[in-house]
Amino acid sequence: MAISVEQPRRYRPPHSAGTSLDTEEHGPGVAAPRALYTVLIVLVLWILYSLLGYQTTVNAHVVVFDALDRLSRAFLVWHNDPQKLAAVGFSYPPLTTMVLLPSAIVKPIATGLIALPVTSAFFAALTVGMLDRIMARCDMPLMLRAPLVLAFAVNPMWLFYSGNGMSEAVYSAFLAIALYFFISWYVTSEPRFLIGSGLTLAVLVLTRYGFIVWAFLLCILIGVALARRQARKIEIEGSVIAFAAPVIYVLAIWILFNALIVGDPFGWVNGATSTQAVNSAGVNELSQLDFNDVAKRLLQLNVAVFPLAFLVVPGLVVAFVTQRNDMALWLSSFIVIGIVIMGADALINDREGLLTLRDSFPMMITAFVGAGWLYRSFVGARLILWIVTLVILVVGCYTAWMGMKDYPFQSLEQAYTRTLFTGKSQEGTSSRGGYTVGIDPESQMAAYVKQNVSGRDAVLTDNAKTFGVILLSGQPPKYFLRVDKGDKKWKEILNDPWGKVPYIMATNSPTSGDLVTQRYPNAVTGGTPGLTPIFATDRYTMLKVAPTAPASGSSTTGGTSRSGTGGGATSSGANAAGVAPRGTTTTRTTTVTTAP
Amino acid sequence: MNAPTATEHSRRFARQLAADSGLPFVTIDPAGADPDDYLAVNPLAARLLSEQVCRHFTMLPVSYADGVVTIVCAHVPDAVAQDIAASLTGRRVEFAIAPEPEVQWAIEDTFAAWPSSDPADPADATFTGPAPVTHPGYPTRVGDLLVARGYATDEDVAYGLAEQERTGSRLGDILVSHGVISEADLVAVLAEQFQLPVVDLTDYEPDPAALDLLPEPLTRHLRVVPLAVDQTTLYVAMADVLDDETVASLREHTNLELRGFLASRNAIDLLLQRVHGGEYVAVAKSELLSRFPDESANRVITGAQKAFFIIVLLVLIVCLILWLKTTAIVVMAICSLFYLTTSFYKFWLTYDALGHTYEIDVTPEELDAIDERDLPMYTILVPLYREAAVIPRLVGGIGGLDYPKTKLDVRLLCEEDDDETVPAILAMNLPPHFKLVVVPDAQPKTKPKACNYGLLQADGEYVVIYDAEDRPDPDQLKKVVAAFRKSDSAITCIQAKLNYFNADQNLLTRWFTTEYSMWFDLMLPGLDAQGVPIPLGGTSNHFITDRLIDLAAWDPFNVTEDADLGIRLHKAGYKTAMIDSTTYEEANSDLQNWINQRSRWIKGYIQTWLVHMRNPAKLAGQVGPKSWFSFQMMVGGTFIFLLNPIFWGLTTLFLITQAGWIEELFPPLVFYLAAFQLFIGNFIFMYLNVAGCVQRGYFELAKWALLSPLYWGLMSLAAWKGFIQLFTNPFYWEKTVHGLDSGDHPPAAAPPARPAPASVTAREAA
Repeated sequence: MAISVEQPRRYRPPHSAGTSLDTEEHGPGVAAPRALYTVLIVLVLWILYSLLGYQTTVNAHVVVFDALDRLSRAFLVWHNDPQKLAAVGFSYPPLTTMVLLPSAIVKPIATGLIALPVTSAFFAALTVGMLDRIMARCDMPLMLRAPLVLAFAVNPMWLFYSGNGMSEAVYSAFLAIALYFFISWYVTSEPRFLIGSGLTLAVLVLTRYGFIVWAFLLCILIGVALARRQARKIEIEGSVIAFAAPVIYVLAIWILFNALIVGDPFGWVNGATSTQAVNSAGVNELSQLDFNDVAKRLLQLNVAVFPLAFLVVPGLVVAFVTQRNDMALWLSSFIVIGIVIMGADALINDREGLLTLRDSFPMMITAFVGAGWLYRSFVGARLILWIVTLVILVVGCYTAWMGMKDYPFQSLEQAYTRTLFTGKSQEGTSSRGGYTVGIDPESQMAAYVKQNVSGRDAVLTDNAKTFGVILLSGQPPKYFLRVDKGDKKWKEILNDPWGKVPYIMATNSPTSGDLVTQRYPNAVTGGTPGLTPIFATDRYTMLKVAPTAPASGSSTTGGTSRSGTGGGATSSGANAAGVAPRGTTTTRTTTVTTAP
Repeated sequence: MNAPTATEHSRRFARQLAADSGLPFVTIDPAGADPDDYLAVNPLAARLLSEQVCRHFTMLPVSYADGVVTIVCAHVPDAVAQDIAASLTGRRVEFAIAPEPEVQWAIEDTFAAWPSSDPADPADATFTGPAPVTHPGYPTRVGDLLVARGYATDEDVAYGLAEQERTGSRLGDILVSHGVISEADLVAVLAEQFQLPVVDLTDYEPDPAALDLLPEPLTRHLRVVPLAVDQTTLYVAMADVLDDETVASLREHTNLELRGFLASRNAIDLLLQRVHGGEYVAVAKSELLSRFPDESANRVITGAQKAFFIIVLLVLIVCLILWLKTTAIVVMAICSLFYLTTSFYKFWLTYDALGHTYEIDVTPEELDAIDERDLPMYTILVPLYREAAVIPRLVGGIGGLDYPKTKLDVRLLCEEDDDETVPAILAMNLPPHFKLVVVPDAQPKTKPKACNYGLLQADGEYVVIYDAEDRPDPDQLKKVVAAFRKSDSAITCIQAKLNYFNADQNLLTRWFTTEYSMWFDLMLPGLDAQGVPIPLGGTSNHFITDRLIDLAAWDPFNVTEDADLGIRLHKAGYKTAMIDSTTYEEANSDLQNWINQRSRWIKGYIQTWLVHMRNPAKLAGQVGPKSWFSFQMMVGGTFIFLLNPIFWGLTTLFLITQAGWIEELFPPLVFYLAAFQLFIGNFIFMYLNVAGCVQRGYFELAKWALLSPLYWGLMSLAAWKGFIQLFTNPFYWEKTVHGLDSGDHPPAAAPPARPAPASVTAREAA
């Protein structure tokens, strides 16, 4: 009988690479640095950045209140009663707070603010380690990439954000990882890198919502690049799905959480985003922005933060045109689109204050990576490109320094330059933007609470504004917070505190967004019956609550003991970093009801 | 007849002749010989030349060892004699000089009368005498004989000789394997060539007294069957002329002379099965139990385990009564922690594998460099039950293997009561490398028992199991041989990857394919890299036969005998490795069939866990803490499928009802663990299924992998079914029905075809 050899339809030799994207010859490749080498870089820089950050943040009190807020939330997760993950809140991209969770477990590390420099130092070091690997992937040998990486690592802007606990180091690290994976995928076409970049993008969008746009663009770019290489339709579809699935998933989960817990699934889009206005009152913003104004500010930012873009963007465009080099187009697009989005955001909202130094970090990272890709793309001009890159990076240190000193829309960069220059504490000094630097008012109030207040839920306060005090006191159970039993219950008590809570703590500034101050605008000056100021610092006032509701019309007077070092624009009173929601004076309620 | 002792004169003359011609001197008369010169006559080797040739040239083959025939001559053989001797024996020949009287005597003695071939004698009805040979002086090699008798053409023989040159196999075997001639034809030609009688063993009942003379292992090893015995002679059936060593073995056991009768290999195999089947099945089902009783799943749980579980249950009940909430929280916490640990471990394994290639790499150059003459015999065990419909595909799949057919030993293992498959196989008249093995009906009626049965008759240096519907990569066997040869000597098993050829049949097959892609392309290589036990796949595991037998092969009581064997291999100090070669199977496309199959797998994994955890401390001592931990995660992790519905149920109930008592079961830390697992852990596994597909190039399956959580629901359903069956019917084998795929599978890449003559292809197409 016939014995025919049938083979299965599904049979296709399994392969671990998709369609190759990089068809250019770039000369001999450089071996990837050993994992141990990268670990060593990260460890060394982590230590160095931590030490520097400790000096500037903990000793010199150059504390950015965004970071303080996040640390306070992380602290509440572990040390509040009841403990709740929901204390992370919904006003910031969640991962920027969650990265502080490990260090916040140990109370002294959190209350001593050591968690801030240690955490951001880790991510800053990781960023530098990944940038080194990216340069190696771009065929740059160790001898050449070491000076570039070093120049980046000692940039004063980078040093500031490596030690202040802000989210810039966090998302920069994930951005560097994502770019490493993406470039590796482009060079090797191994699916594992595509998967890695998808996973990293998913994490990235939870550190800075603006990267959702990046993720969307990358999906398109993956499809286009594969199509241009005549990949099968199914490979394009599968690759895009493999890349986009994690991003879509995390967004879906985040929307779900917001819907379930906050009751507003998309509130996070319009609320506190990563692009914060940092100027509270100290700098005159233009009342009406036009394109030229925005362009001028963007140029200033370009010079100060990412001067490499002047070389990289045109160079990458030339690479794309002459070599059909898709990655060159992508990298240059990211930089340009980043700039465009910043400018558009400011124009749409008519807020010059949105053009901040720190919001330029994605372009800074991408420009550095772009320089590496330029090196890879133009084999014949590598040495020149390298030299020019190095020069720009070195010059960039100077321009960064100058920008930190002078650029109006910033987050205590100026105070940082002073402390670096003088070595002195900046407590009570002012910084560009009209902020009073330091945490003495918080420390003093925290000390008062520790010494004079006892019992659970004794002090009703708006944790969205008095987080500094709560953290530094290290005793969250003493406070009755919005996160404890939810906004609804908290507001009930706020409206009728008599006999329910012994104290109320409020911020002194009527424009700070503090719900307590909004409810009782005259309380801090003693003008609210039943609420007696008993202790005040430059930013906060402790009020004694009467055991029974006062009769209407009576006034109470009471002495206050006030301590404060004075100085600074305390009347503006806002936190020293941009936590005021963009364009609003009322804080979006971050409802943190009991989570399952 | 007593041998006449050669005179001293003739002996001296012969010695001188040998010295002058450079040939060795021997004597074949034991009486007057110097022991150093004595060479015993192998009576069966003596039949390698016809009587006429022997008398004409005064020479006689006396020895056959290591492929060389030693021929004693009274005179120095000239070129014609040498040529004829080589041609007729078909082997390498060496000559020795012996005294002429001794040579003459030996010729007389060899060609004395054989048993009667009188057709009138019914007792001898089965004996057939040899056909007359060709005229003396004409070379009559096997090939010449086949052509002369009209069984084959010159073209066929030329093709066979070319393959012989390449593979080192014998011409007759090659032509039979290609279907040019039948086994019966070959036997007839060999009988003519060696002047041996042929015996038909179809309904032959050997003399029990003869059977008792040779132990079964020896008969199996030598492939001979004792047929009859008298006072001086043992009559044996054999497939080929026996060499000196074999003859010596037989004489040693019996102290009798030997007379051989030719029969086909398959006939001898079937007769051995018929005669010793009871013995084989006893070994198949009880070898592991008798040699390693602690490792047999014949008991679901031991007495000690039973006591332990009862105590734990009692303690739990008491704690629930006394401290309900705390106990419940602790239980939830333990479950969550176990869940999380398993997830992390599996994630780490698979992600690590994503970035590396841990399989043994066999390059195309290494494959091309393989000399087929050095390839060993390879046994393929194919257990079948009521699968007549897939036999043609099976034969085609094995036919597509790039391995000399003469070196394949394919054993189709059928149950005795399978009145569908056995007749179908018999009707197909398959080539002789396919052997039907009928497993006598005995409990437990399981695949591993059938495999053990088949293994007892395996000829191969290596053995592999394939299922009926399997389609291995054509070069898989060669790759495995190369891999074994270049790897650590401790490697005893090489596992190929499994995947499915009908992935796009429906949603279930797509899910199944994503799961297998992740498992075999990522998870198992990850385990391999860690040097921890690998739960083997159901098929395409290649073993070194001797070591497998040493380990008592598969546990007939375990319904996932493959996973169990992987653990036992590791415990014995052997290693398993992965290879980048795929066998394509049929993914279950029917939901009920899938649930049955999956329930058996989960039941088997739990069985395996219970067996090897009879003494946890001993297990840790045997495998080390790292492997012990891995065993808990990979095999013990099966319990997660049982936990899934509980946790999902609680989550769903809470979302709907917001019940406070559920919230209380999850205090903050426990909640964080569980929430992390729910949102992150589950996603990671779903995404790793995507990764497995993309890694393998199955881009079209990526989107279906995103629906994995639904698939996990089905797995949990099957898990509970298997768990319950573990107590109600632990050894029951849920048979997977095959042949449910759509059947439309276009050809894929086959090994480069060697040109075959038209007649060969015509016969193979017939």
